Amino acid sequence: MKKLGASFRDPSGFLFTRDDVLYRQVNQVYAPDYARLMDSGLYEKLVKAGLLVPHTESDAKPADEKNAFKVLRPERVPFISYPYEWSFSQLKDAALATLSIQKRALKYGLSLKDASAYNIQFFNGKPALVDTLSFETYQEGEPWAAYRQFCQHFLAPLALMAARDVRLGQMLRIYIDGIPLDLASRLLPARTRWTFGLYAHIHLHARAQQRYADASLDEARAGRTIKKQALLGLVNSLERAVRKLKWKTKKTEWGDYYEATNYTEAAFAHKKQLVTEWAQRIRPRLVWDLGANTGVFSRLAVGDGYAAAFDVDPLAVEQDWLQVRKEKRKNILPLVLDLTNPSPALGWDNRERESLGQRGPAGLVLALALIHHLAISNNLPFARIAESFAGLGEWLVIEFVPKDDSQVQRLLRSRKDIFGEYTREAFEAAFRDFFKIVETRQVQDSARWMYLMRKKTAKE
Amino acid sequence: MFFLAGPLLFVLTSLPLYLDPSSGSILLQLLIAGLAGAGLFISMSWKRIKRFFGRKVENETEDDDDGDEEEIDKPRSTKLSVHLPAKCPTCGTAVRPNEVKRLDDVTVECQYCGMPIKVHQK
Repeated sequence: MKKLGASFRDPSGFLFTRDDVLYRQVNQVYAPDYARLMDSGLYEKLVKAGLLVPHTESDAKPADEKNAFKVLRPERVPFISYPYEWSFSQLKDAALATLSIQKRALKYGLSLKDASAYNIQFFNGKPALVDTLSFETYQEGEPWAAYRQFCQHFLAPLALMAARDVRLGQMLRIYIDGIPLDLASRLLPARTRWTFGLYAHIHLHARAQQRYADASLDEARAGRTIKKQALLGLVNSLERAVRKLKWKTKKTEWGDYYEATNYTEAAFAHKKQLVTEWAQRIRPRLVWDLGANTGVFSRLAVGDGYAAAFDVDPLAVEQDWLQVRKEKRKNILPLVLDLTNPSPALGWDNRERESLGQRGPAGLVLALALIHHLAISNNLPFARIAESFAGLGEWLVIEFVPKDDSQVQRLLRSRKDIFGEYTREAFEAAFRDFFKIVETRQVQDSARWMYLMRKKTAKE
Repeated sequence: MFFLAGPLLFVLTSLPLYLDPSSGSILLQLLIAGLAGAGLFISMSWKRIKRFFGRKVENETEDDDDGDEEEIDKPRSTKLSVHLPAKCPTCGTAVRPNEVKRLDDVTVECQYCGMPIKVHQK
């Protein structure tokens, strides 16, 4: 039995695994709220709308018998992702899902007691709440305790991404409880004070927090209550503020990169065919596409498994997500990731949010048109790349891009060529230390090579 | 602003909050929610007045929106909605007749992605 590192804040219960099965213990303190969630019809409504991850009640032994009320067995999310890995629209969709859940909850006499972005995961191609214990019985007159958290986890990063720079979404990696509102207020352009939503929920909110920093809750409230209609008005106001935020992608510096491919139609088709063939042979449950761009190859490799499509470029990930949404795909999750500095383990004791590696291993790792970026732009020796990839998954489909390729020459244009070792022979030798090369094919109509490799077992 | 304040006689219930809601956030929320609630009330009243005088209300708000997709998908009585496609051709989101912005007689803006949606002509 192992308690999950992220599941400790809420006394209502916690997650644990036993024999690789994920369970959620519900504590006795939460019994009335749980009953209300299940009996009011809200649970069913939310699950049907795809806004809540379903669970079954289990007769498994609780992990903490003294406090236990029930043990639930939630459906598993195929790949856990974090808000600092989401593109703008993914975070926006997660925000809107949270508000939509709150609106429905209020209708059923419940309310969200937290609005953490980490409680949202992508499930069946849509953002859904994973924390069944996030609901509490709504009490007429009570304000929304999670209002601050919603603004910090969702509204502030979205506003910064839309109004200042999309890369500011990465601040969520530093501030685990969302971006402090006084900081968001200082970083946002002055023009954001002229829209009611951002002015009220961020700028004014930051000032109110500062002013009442030392006040007790009772002092601040002075006995005031909030009608349900007004509370719905607040949620609607947040929703409008979120909906209004748009990332104007046209103006970014990445824009034209996608048209700049240097290989022919035939080469592209051959590469697609190889990836499809090899993936069909392996049938991986989990694919990690590193440097996925807009996810063309993720779609070919995914089969009946699940693929996380990582790219460093927020625009590529945004486009991939919009496409996934349009196709109503349930098995591809585009994510922003800088492979040269992947998501670390974060939070208390570094155990609340898992690093990329901890969320593995993948069945198949795709590394297409990537090696030159790692070896040349990031000065990584082949041996280090091979070692790292061996830690990420069992199978590897990797493309070798030779030095005379125009994409590599582009990288070398601005710097001295210190990469004497960048040859196919050196590449193969380095990877053979960690992998068995199963198949090698030259891409038609091109000087690039594709490899299918399998990680060596301890005996090999 | 304090016309929004609720009855002073209200006795504070001590909810077992595990999250720090922050005093400033609670205070601000009381004020904004009061405004937003009042806004909702005014816009609803205004529509009732307009309807009373027989004016068509083109863009009914989601006052009574319970956020149920399956119910929202059904076009309501608004004149515009009967011509609207069910899904936005760009992003595939269900078109919410109450939330799309009307650009002109034949185009609305998707409430989700902001792209224009052509309204079907009868």
